[in-house]
Amino acid sequence: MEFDETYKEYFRPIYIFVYRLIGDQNSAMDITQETFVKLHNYMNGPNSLENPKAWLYRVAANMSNNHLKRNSTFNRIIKDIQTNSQYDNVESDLINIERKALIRKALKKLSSKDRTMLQLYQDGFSYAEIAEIVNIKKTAVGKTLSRAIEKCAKYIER
Amino acid sequence: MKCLSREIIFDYINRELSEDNMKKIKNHLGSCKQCHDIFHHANIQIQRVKAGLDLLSPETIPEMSFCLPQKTKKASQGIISRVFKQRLKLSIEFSWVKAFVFTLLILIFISIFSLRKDREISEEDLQRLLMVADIFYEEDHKVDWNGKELVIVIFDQEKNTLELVRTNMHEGKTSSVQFKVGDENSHLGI
Repeated sequence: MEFDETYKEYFRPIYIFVYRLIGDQNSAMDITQETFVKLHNYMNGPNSLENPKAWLYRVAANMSNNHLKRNSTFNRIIKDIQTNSQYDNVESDLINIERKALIRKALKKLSSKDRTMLQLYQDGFSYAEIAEIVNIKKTAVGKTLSRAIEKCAKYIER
Repeated sequence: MKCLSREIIFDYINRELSEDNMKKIKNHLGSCKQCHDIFHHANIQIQRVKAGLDLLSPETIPEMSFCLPQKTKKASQGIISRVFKQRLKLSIEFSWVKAFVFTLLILIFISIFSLRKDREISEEDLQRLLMVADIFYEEDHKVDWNGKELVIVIFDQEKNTLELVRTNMHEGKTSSVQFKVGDENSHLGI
């Protein structure tokens, strides 16, 4: 698959995936661009790429998690949301903001790997694909996901 | 059939089991209330989490720019090229930019060097200093200027000693060493 085709096909999904992981539009755009820069360089290098989709998601997930570690964006976003919610008068917006804050808090309780797996699951990836991207055994995917969902759901339900 | 674990039920919901196992579990869920309750609860949890994750999706998605590969190829050449290409958007060849930057750096270096020279002691000041030294040291002496230091060597005939006074004109430091003529331990070896 040529770079242009890959770019056209995966730009949007990768951007959404990264955005959901880090919750910041500018950083999500930067990470998405950087992911494709890496892909371009990789494709121009001596190595062949069998599964660009898995490769892209793996690089994007790693970069997003590194970004979160560096900037602790989660804390900032939650703080922003909490601050905004104090002054927001529109009821529906307020509910959405609170829900978003809650789901982000719930995600924060998970490890970066579990968080990534959950986002991939949300994007409809199969166990085999998730295992390839996150680099774990396929047999461990269901168990990990099930626990992550249960943990997340319990936090949301509180 | 034994009751099912939560993980198996989860795999069943996600259709990640073999066809045979899917059928077996379907049958079991139809007959076991306890497992069916777990199945029902797990389904609700999945839907709830998925709905929550959906909320985190961006409201707008920025447009794609297909010039990315070309840009990145140039940009990957280095920081200077990235700055010139992306910030200043120069259309000239990068080799010319390189040459220009190189020349500019040389000019800056030369001007700094010449400024430093200007800051060094002037000829007029030097003559004044040498004159003061001549007046101050009445004994036999020799005054020398090496561009950095004013060196005065004073010979005392009575004591048979040499005194070396060195003044760094830039740092304003003066050091003095005195030794007997013919002393083998002298660090100057005189």
